[in-house]
Amino acid sequence: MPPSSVPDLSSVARLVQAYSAYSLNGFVPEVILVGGFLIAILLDVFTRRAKSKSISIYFAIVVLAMAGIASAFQWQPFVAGQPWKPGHLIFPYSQTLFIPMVHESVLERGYAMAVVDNFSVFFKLLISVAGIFMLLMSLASQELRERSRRLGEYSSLIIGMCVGLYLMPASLDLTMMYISLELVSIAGYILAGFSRDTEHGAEAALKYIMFGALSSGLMIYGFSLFYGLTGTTNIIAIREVLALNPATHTGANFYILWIATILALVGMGYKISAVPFHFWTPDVYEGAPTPVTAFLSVASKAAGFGLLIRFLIFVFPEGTKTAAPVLDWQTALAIGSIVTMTFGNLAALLQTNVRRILAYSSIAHAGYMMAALVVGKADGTVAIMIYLATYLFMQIGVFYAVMLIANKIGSEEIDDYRGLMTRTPLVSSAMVIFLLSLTGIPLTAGFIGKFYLLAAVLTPDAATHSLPWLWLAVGVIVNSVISLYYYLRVAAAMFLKRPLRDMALERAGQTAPPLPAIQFGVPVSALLLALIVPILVLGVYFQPLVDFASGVVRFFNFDNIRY
Amino acid sequence: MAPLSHYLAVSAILFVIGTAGVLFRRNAIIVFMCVELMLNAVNLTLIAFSQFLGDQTGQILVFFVMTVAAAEAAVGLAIVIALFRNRQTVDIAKVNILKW
Repeated sequence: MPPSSVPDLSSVARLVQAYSAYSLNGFVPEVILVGGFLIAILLDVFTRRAKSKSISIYFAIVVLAMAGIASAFQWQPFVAGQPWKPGHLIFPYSQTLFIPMVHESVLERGYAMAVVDNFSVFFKLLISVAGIFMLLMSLASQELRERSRRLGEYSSLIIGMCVGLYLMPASLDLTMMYISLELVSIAGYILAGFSRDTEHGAEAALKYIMFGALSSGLMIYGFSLFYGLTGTTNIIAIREVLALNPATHTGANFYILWIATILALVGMGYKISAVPFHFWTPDVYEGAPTPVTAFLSVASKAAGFGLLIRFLIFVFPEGTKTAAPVLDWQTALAIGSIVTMTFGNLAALLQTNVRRILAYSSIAHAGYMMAALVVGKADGTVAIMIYLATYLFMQIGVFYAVMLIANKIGSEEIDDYRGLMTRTPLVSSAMVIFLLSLTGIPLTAGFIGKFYLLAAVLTPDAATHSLPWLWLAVGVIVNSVISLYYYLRVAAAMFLKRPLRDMALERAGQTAPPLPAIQFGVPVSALLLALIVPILVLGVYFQPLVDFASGVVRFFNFDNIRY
Repeated sequence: MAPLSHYLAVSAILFVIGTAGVLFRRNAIIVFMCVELMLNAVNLTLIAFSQFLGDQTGQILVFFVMTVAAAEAAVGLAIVIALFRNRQTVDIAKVNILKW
């Protein structure tokens, strides 16, 4: 390094000082969450009676709403014609970086722990909405009411988990990726085992932490190999080193780069429950309290995709065909995507428990979203974000309906769902809407998600005008058809089949008195409607969502990602 | 001083032992010990690279890995205790009421 490019210490100190003040502005939502987390713990100490413990859930809703509003203020509107602006950087660093530093100053290049750009703001909003719905759902949960003495720790853990979820899609550094992912995981282990006094709950937590610890261990080993290859932990710097220094990706180092990439993807694939890192999914989804299941399947998966997009597109911006230094990760991911969606759907066909069906279907949905990730670039990222936004409402909705039914009939078996239409028309019809939306039937939000996803996968290659991922799109369509069978099996049981009890009595020659109707209160029905309305509205009026998601990737500046 | 490759070889061997232990051992407590072994192998890799590159980032990451390992072990053992209260066993092969 020539001595002229080394700034003297005082100017570095001044820059760091100026920048850390600047960067705390971007950290407001996380600060609110951390403060809320501490207050929630205190609140738990000061509420004695089990009945008044549910106040901590209301408190968590307020904290998440405030954090969501604070992150909405970080949104930078896109003005056509204006030059592209980088986001706020959080914890920038320069001194410890071991790369050939070239002319531009460190701060402009984005060597920071995390970044506040529109991409991370989108995910923060998504996570806040999911968290608020999940907490409202918790208020009606039978499982949690039986353990209301521990509700304080429940809501404080959810706030703590949200800190990690907020930081995951915002990370620019392998250290931050690891820390935020572990923050989410460890809070998730405790929440998954919240009903630890039951066998299912304890077992779910054990399976979750064993697979989680294994995959995060593999991931951090991959990160350490990245560090060894490139001498830095910042993903932007990693890309630059890979581009500038061919020695990092030729010869034996090429294989080490592959191993490092695959190991890093293991940890992220575990978060989004991609095959073959999905083993925990059905067990945790069945054993954890239903609101936690809904939250894990939406928020933790969304943040996992945010992390994956950030990692893959920042470290390996283009395929091997165009840019020299990168791997052909797209084909590997495409195969993973096909395997994930096919396995999820086929395994769901064999299940008899509704929650397990939904667990396998969430694996399949991860496969669909991975298909869009294969395309990468602007189209794929927009498609994933639209898909996640629609997926939020239908997934939380369907788990809410399952929870309401389980509260009353005490079962999640598909045979016990027979004839529910006559007993509770509201919840049954809501459930059918959620299931249709999950299938991707037109006029529901699920269709919009699938439509943009397929459109992204079917984008023709600019140079050759061929469709490079046609087989992937065919896989998505075939899998959607398979999924129709098991989604409609649940709907058919509720609407068309008669209860087993009635049939048995009839065979014995007796007439059966109809099973009693199931009543739900006004707040419960209101929340159900609050989940149905966005699905139906987004099914026909989706332009705002598409504009919103496109505004995010405009800031990404895909042709030339740099900060 | 031993060259970098020696450190990397030792840590890779430790990592493989740890991973194999997690995958094949049936006692939950041993599984958690093997996870610690994996993370310590990672730490050794990071320190070796950090020393080789003359750069502190890797050593900072090691501190975070150690913190996370401690938190994970605490939660993991608590979960094992909760499971033991229900089942009187810490054998993973016997913990399978939730099928595939």
